[in-house]
Amino acid sequence: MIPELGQFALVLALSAAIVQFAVPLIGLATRTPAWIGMARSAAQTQFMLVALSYACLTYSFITHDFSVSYVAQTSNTQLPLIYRISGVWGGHEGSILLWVFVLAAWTYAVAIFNRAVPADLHARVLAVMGMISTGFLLFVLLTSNPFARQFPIPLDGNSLNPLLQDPGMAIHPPLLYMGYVGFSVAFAFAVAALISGKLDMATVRWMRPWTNVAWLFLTLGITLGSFWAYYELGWGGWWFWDPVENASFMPWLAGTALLHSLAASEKRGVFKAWTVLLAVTAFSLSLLGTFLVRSGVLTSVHAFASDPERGLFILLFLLLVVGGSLLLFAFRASSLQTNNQFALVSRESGLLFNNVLLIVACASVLIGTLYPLFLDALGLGKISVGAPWFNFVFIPVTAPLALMVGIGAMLNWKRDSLGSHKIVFTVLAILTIVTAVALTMLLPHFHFGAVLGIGLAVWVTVTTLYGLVYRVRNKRKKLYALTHTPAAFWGMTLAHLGIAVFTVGVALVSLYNTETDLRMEPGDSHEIGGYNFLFEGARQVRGPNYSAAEGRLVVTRDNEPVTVLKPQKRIYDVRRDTMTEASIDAGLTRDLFAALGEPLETTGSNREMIEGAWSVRLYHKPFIRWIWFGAVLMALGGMLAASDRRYRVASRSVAAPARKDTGSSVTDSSAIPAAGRLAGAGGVDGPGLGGRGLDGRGALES
Amino acid sequence: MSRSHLSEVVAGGNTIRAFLLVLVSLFASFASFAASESRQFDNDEQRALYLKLINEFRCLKCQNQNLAGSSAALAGDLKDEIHSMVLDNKSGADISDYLVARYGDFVRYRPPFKLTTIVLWLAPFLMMIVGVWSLTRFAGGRTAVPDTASDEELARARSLLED
Amino acid sequence: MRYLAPLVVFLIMSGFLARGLWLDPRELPSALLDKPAPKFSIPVLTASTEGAVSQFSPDDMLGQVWILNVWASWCGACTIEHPVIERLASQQLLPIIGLNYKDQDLAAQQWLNRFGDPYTHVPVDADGKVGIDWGVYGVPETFVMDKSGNVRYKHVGPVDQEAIDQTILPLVKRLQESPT
Repeated sequence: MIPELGQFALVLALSAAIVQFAVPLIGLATRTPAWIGMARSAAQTQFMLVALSYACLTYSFITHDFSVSYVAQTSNTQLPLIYRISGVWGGHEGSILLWVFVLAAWTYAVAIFNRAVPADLHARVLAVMGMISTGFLLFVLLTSNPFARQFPIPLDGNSLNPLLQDPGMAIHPPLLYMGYVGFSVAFAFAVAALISGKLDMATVRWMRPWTNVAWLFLTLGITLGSFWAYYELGWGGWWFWDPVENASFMPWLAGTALLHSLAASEKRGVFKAWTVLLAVTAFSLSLLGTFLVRSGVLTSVHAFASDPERGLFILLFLLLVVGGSLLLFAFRASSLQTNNQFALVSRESGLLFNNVLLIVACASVLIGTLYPLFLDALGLGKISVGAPWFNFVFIPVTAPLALMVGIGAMLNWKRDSLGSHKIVFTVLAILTIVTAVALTMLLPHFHFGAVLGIGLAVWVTVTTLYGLVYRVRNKRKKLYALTHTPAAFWGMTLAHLGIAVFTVGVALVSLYNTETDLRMEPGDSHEIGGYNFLFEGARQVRGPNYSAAEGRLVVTRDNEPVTVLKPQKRIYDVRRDTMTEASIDAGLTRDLFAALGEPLETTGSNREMIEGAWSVRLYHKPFIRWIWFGAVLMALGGMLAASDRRYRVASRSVAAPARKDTGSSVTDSSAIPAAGRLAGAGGVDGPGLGGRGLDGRGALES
Repeated sequence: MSRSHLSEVVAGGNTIRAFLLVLVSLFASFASFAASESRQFDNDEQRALYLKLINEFRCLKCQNQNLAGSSAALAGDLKDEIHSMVLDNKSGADISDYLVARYGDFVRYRPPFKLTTIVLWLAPFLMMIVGVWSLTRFAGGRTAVPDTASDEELARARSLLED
Repeated sequence: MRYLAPLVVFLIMSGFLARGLWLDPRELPSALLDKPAPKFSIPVLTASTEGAVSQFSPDDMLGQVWILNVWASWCGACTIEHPVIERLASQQLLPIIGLNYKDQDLAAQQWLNRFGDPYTHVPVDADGKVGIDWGVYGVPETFVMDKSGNVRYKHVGPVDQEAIDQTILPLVKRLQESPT
């Protein structure tokens, strides 16, 4: 009964989604307010129905209803409760249902939070989201029904892929989807702007927090995925440039570009067409990612079940949604064109530089990911494009980004001159070089690459911090000014410092990583990175649904005990998959990582395993945590920026124009009230018009 | 005290650290032998080359993994082949040619630079040059920004009207 | 019209993606295609030899078109394709050599006893070196060789009747008719 209820709810949700896009559009065409208003209630209904359907599937998982074939494929009676709940998205059908659920949740949020948005715009945005929901609900119902029953009913299920039986993997997909799907909001705003032919500053400002939140979820999702690959795949890598990884990284790059161009569009009304294009691109790349992952056109280490029929459906949907919006863009973009001018040295140019590099990086990832497919389709042979190519291309494209981030963030809008900063930057550059060389000296051996990596990180740090100092340089009460700096500015600063932390991690782990593949008998020891690993042998252990050989390695440093590592080699009962469960001792400056390979020369029964030799992989990974820590800083920055109360204050103030703004933009808002409010509602790019207005060096100087 | 006991104690905590230290050093003094590498090398250059190569070649049997990350049997055999060629002081290029002759360019994660891959290798850099160049044109062509903020104010006025 | 550019780029990409749906990214053509097959000389599985041949080398096959089928007793997919290979062998169109890849002699012999032995010779590649030279990456694999010892076709994975009828046999016929 419950599965049927779930399926029925999905069908009803489909009709609600159709209502959500069709009725408001008709209403807009015929100027019927009641019809326009339908968007909101249809969106809310759609969310409730999808949530009900999702709950039904979860219920079937928890109660082991193996008459549902998806449950039978993905679950098992031995599976612990938490993995039965996360198992809902452990296969194709459930993943797509989760996607639909997340989309419905975003739609619901848009429906209830944006009350200040003019009714027409709001209805258009919800209608666009309704179209996307319709497509995905059709996809679920027509090609990937998770509720399909099967007879005879199997006694037990196939169980969840052991790779996914892990807490990190349990929450990675929801985070990732929150990001992917979250870009649909910016997309919907962009399409609404194309339909209406105008993108005003208020609309741009409404887009910003939504984009921020989607971006921060995507950042966390990717970070978690990378972290999971590191400890779960057992070879110590944190990024492989696998198509599935790239599929999540491309929307992230486009989304990052969008965050920055939104800032320029909001503050200065520039790059409007470009911003709209980026919003379309970010979500299109999310859809493309779904296509790549689900269709099997590319080989990926993440062996998802793939199916050409499903691929075809998503491709047609992609053509409709992306092709449609790009067609709209081709016809309407010129009406968004503005000719606000700016000089080569200006905040606008800085943001545009950022955008150019991010989009080049994004396009490069796209080319690298799809190039094997291009050649194959043209019959020109099979090639692989992997980490060596991506690293070769990516570093030169992104290094200038890090070089410029601090400077770009402190330039004046419209026009600036570097002249006044020359001395400061020279001092900072010297400081950077000295610090980088000194810090590299502290490392086990000198590496010129480390000077570059650390230097870049130090440069990002000092220029970003200088931006903070510069912001309050003319304030009488510096501390007061600092504590009253808007959250958005702190968010930007934090995210930019995240780049520095990330850079340190990437540079040091790639240069100073030690790995070794050993043959260890009980009693053997080996030293890497100053740590001594003593292998005590392995024994049989039993988990809830697997048995494992567990090695024991006592780690000491200068004869001081450090930790005991217990890497496992697991065999899961149901699927008989072998899994390498690495054991990691995490640290701020290094990770110690041990993975158990194969037993060598075992003499038969398991009891004797403890006597046999094993192949053991040991890694010493300096500063690897900094990679994820840096990414988390970026996400926190995004969170701070999205939480800036001036978004909310300003959003409401549009509805009630008499409201006076707070903070450093007072001068502006008193000069030209509405425009000042708009400028003051700033996001990531803090020291903008508002901050500059006071000292007379800003754009208003005249 | 048995070995497995020992590590229980290590996991146990600080209280018995001192005791443990004695044990560990005792243990180290009579029972610890240096583990041997699964694949041994004559020098560090060979080891570095080997590690570089197993990261740059593909495990053909796998979905999308390099030799280093794969535990497939064929990956093991290829690692053995690479290892023995490294010991014979073959260069990275020789070893690459050996693998490509057998498995084609598909085996390389670093695609060769040839006619069909020119676009792949050059596109990112061309895009970067074109991008930055058009940026300077887009912004630089407008260096004659008047020192008054009149257009600025116009824009603001316009946005006011839009509100 | 520069605003049209994104759409054009997207449509071109979609064309490739659509084409990609009907391509198998994992199917690898042999790097040895139309090249002389690597030489080797290895012992054959003892019990299956009829004459005094104890070593097999591709040179032994010069002048005839032949098939090299790579198999192993531990390979599940080999049991799926085996009936197809047997049917082909029963037609006696050409010799089929069964390269026994990384296997135990005893297990290989038992497997042949159980499922039937369609092979003219069963050379034993115990350490997989011949497999590497021939670019074998997934068992079973099937090579079609011409009269001069060049690799003319490779099929990865279990061969089915369709592949035999539509690709392999027409090719074999063509090769047999050509003088060299």
